[in-house]
Order: sequence, then C-alpha cells, then structure tokens
Amino acid sequence: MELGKGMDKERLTAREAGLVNCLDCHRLTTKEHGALQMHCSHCGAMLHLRKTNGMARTWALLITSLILLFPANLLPIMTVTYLGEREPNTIIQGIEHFLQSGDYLIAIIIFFASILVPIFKIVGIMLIMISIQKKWQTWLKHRTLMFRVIKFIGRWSMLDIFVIAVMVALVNLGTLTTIRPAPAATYFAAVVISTMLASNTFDTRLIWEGSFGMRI
Amino acid sequence: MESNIPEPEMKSRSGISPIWILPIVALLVAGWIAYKAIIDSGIEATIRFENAQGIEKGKTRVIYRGMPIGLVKDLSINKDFKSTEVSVEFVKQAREQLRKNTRFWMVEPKISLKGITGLETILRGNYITMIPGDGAIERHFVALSKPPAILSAEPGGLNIRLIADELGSLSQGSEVYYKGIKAGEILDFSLNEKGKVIIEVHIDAKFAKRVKKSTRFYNVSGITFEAGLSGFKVSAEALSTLLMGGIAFFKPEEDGKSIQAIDSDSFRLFKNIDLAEQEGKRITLLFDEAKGIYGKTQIRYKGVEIGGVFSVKLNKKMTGIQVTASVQKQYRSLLREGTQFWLVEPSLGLAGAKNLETIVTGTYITLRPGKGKPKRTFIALGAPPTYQEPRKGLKIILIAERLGSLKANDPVYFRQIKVGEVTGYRLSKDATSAIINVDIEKPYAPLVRTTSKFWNASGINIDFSLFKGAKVRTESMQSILEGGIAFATPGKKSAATEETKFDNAKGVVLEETKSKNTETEGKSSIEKQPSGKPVKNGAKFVLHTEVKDEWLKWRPSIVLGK
Repeated sequence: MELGKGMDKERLTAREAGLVNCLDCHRLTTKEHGALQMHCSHCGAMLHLRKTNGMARTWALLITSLILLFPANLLPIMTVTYLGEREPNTIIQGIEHFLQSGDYLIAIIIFFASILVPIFKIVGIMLIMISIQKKWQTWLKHRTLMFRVIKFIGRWSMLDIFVIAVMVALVNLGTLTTIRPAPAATYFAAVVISTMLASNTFDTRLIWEGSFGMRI
Repeated sequence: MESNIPEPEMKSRSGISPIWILPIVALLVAGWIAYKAIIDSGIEATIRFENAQGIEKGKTRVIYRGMPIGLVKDLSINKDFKSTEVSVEFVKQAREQLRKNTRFWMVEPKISLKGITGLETILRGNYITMIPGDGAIERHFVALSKPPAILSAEPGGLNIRLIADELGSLSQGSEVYYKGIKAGEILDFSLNEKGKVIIEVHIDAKFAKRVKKSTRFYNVSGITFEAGLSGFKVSAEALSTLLMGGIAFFKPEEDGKSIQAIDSDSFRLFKNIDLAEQEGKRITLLFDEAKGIYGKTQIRYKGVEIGGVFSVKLNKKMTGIQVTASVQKQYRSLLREGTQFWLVEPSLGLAGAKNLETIVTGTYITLRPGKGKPKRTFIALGAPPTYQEPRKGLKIILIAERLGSLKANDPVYFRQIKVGEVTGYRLSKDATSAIINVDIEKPYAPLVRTTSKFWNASGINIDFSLFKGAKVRTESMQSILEGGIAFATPGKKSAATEETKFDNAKGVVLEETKSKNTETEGKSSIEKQPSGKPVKNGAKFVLHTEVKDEWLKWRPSIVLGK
C-alpha cells in the first residue's frame, strides 16, 4: 500500500484505501469485511468507517435543541426573592438588568454565552449538515474550521448554568434574598447538552466525503 | 489501491433512528409550555392615572388581597398630557372581575396617628390595588386619585350613615366601638344640603348584627372629665380616640323588639353618651330662676336618684329657665299631669337645718307625683309645695283672719304635745280670711271635737295689765321661733277646770306673777266627758288669734285612737 502517495492530488480517504482510523488512539487498521463489529487492535475501541447514523442523530439533536431554545429563552431562568418579593427573570431580563446597572462586561459575557453561542452552534452545525446533504463542494476548509470553533465554544455555553448554580449556593440569605433556579434553567441545560451531543455525533469526515478532485 | 475483495454495500439504516425521540419529546415539552402560556395568558387592561408617579413598567403590580394579580406592562402619557395610560396584564382569573365599577388606586405609604399603612410599599415600591365592582365586563378604567371610602371590601359588613351637627375630631379611619371593642371605622364624611355632616361608617361583619334600627351612636372622642362635689370621674374610650376620635354605639335597653339595621340606614350621632342615653326621654322643667341647677343636678324621688338635669338655659323670651332633664325609664310613670317639681336646697332655720346633705351633694330637684296623663313639660315650683303628700290623719280646716307667722309644717299642739301639722294654707275665695289646712295625726284625731277651740300659738303671748301684772305664755320653744297652732277641747258644761298648778309643774304655762285667778277657779266642777261630737275630715274651725285662759283649763278625758 502506498499510502500518502499522491494524496494531495487525489485525496484518497482511509476508507477508500481500505483502512479504518481508530478515533480514540488514532491507529490505522485495515478494514475487515464481513465482521459484525470492528474493534481497534490497539486500544480495543469500536471502529467505525463513519460515525453510525451520524447525520440522523445530529439532525435529531439539533432539532431538539432548536425547539428547547424557545422555552429556555422565554421562561424565567432564575427567581430572585428579595424581601419576600419574588422576581422571576428570563435570560434577556437578566442581561437588561446588568446593562441597566452598568455591568456591561457581565452583560456581554452572558449575552454571548447564553444567547449567541447556542444559536451560533445550532445554526452552524445545521449549515454544515445542509452543505453535506446538498453536496456543496465549496468552503470545505472553512466549514471544518467553523465546526472546530463550534466544538470549542460549546463547552462555554454551560456558563449560565454555572452562574445560576453558584448564585443559588451563595445568595441564600433567608428571607432577605434568595435565588432559585427557574424552569428555563433546565431547558437551557438541555439545549447545551443536545448541541454538544450534536457536535459529537457529527462526523467531520463527512464534510470531505466525495470532495474528490475539488479544490480546497 | 485497488482491492479484489468487494466492498460491502454501504446502506443507510432503514427505518427511523430512535434518536428522533429526542426532538419529538422536546417538541411535546415546548408545545405543552406554549399551550400553558396561551391558556394562562393574562388579560390586558388599561388604567388611566392622573399621575403615574411610582409606577414602573414591568415592576409595579396590581395586588388584591395580598396577591399579585397583575403587572404593569406599559406606560404611556395621553395626548393631552393630562393623564397617563397604564397597561396592565392581569392573571386570567381576573377575567370576570374586571367590570365597569371596579375601582383602582395606588397604594402609598401613609403615616397617620392611627398607625402606618402601606409600609410594604417602601421596599417593594408602590402598587396598585382594586375593589371588584359590578357592571359589564370592561377593559378600560380610570383610577381613583385617593383610596376609596370603602377600604374593607369585607363581605357581610354593614355600611351605615351617621348624621351629626359637626364632625369634631372624627376623621376618616376613626374607629367605631361596641362595648369598647373595635367594631368598625369611619370611611368617609361629607356635608349634605342641609349643612349636616354625613359620616359613612363601616361596621365589621362580626358586629353588623349588633346594629339595630334603634341603636344610638355617640361620639367618644377625647377624655370626659367630670368633677363635682361628690368626686370626679375621668373616662375615655380606647386611647386612640384621644387622638383620632371615635364613635361608640349601644342599643337602648327599653327597645325590646329589635329590627336589624340594613345598609345605608341613617342614624343620628349624639355628642356624648348622656345625650344618646337620654334621647327621647327628656322632660322640660320651667323654673323661674336657675339658682343651683346646673348640668348635672340630680332628680330624686324619696331620696332615690331617678334622673338628672341635662341642660339649663333661658327660655326664648328670657323670662324663665328651661331645664332639660331626663328620668330613667322605670320611673317615667311619675311624670304625669299634676306632678310637681321643685328644687331642694339646704335650709338653715332656727328650728334646725334641713337638707344639709345638699351642701355636699349639691342641690337636687325632687317631685311629687301627680295622677293625670303622662306629660313631658312641667312648670316647677319656686318653693316646696304647700301641701305635702296626703296624710292619713284627720284633715281639718282652720279659718283665720290672718295667717300670722304660720307656714307649712308648723306644729299643732294639744297640751303642748305635737299632735299634727299645718299642711298648707291659702286665701279664701273672697279674700276675707286665710284658710289653713291642718292635719291631725290619727291617734290624736278624737281630740278634735266640734267644740274644740284653735288658736295661734306663735310667738310669745304677753298679757300685761296694770292690775294683773304681766303674764307671758308660749307654747313650745319651737313655736316661739317658728309659729304653731294649739287647740283645746272643752268638757261638757264647759267650765274652766284646768289646774294651773298642774300645768305649772309641767312648766308649760308660765305664770310668772300674781295669777290668782287661775288658782281660785281650779276647784270648779270637773266634767270628764268632752263636749261636742267627733269631727270628720274637712271640718272647719276658726283659728283664734289669742287664747282665752279658760281654754287652757279644759280637761275632758278623751280616749285616743290607735
């Protein structure tokens, strides 16, 4: 096997070369036909040519997170009880609150982490998915880069949930002031989890599938 | 690299991946939330405020019975810049309650003498509150500029109206007491066309049934301080009435049947409890002068207090005194035509002091009941009446040329023993003589016979003659000072039989000097049987101004009555 030879020109994939890459230890093994389940001879991890049912799973998770985005943003995410006065706040109201009190930095961070990032993630992965299904052969590298960014920032979207968790624990002054998570916190966490799962179930190799002979 | 081994066909998995359950669940959840949101969506209504001070968008609430039922969604000023429109989203339960007569107003902290209200608004900001009303369903309201009169929308309470001459220290929020317990409060007050003050009062549901048609309301504001010779009394209802004023009510005792008062009944508000209690029982006594009569003078009958004077004022013509008084219910049967009232004052006479207690307790009014129809206005006597209450003794009439120093209650003596009293006197119809009523006590009634002689025993009788010397004769000491009547009854064959020595021994007839005449006549025949016949009530006798010596010698034996 002359691996690597002329790869730049032909862009031979491992699959086309009859090889399977272990996604855990990155060992390249030969593909065995007829085997029910391939396992990495090195680390024993399951081997897939492509992630099983990746497209369908990603779509399902994306749609889930898209639906849950609505309750997450429209319902109050936490309830501040100040001197017996319950004041439920949605994410937007919280941001407004910080803006009004002059905490612009916190407002921007929360806006990014809680509103922009989840939407960016969902829309970004959707775009990549659509591009694969429509077999668009342009911007391959950019799409991969975008996916990498999405995966990277995805972990920060839990910031909101952390903030609430910390606030609930810290601000517990009995009748004076207490903070309790409100329903939207659950939905928001669900959005973050499902987008993270979506970016996990998505197989980046699909971007390059069938991009033979195409310029990058 | 080409491979000879055929590759397996890559087929996409048939059927739907179970991962699609996730978006379906998410859809269901979101759908349910959306459905709930639509179901629970509030009702939009606008309230027009003259002044939206303290109202914040998204913050100010409508609170009813302590429950937030609405939230201000938007604020805008009207085109004419004279009012503001506040858009409020109400909870869906308010759908049926937002009716035409629903009233809204702002609740602001208020500090008054009665206490602090709306304190919670200092922390959580002002809020809007409401009272549900009736009428058609409505979505546009005009807020009240101040809290409405009826604050307690408590059902079952009673809203009544009191009519007073003046408001005094009462104000909105002044409390109404029943037996010292707070039973309601003043909601509002206004003037009516007649210039009377109309006070709107709310009685709490618990006390509503205590208010009857006959209930009397009176002002209990401030302290009542009452001082007199017999002590002093300070009374006040609850302490808050000192500052805020207050009203109390009671049901008059005499009101047996009690009809329940209903909403918007009118009652008179009395200035004080005395006025309220005496309402409808007042009598008017007309005096010539007020002398010792004042606002608290008692009315007593046989020494028992049966009522009191309420006010003393000049009559309209300024010719006399009009005394308004009241008599307790159980004694009201005394107030009849013919009843006589007079003022009892301390009297210090030579014969003794009378009514001395009035020096301490004050003068009082007493009465002698009459027998006519019930009556309310009486002309009081200037002095105790000349006749005392009917006596059971023998009543006789003496006719005298002049009254002398006689007066009512003067004693009547028989052998210098008091056997009766002068009960009154008057002028005869033709003015030729004085008619004196005398009452002889029953046991002594047989002493009076048709032949009895009466004489005025007042003062000292001095016979002074050149030949006989001076003779001073008096009845008792009291009669010297106060006057009196004496009488004697002759025996048959009326002869002077008195033994003056005997008399002398008693020290009654003072024979100072040379009274030989009486000595010599002492041995004439003594007839033991009295002459004449017993007399009946109303018998008339002449009252002699002087006693004849022979009368003093009469000594028939007469069996006294029992």
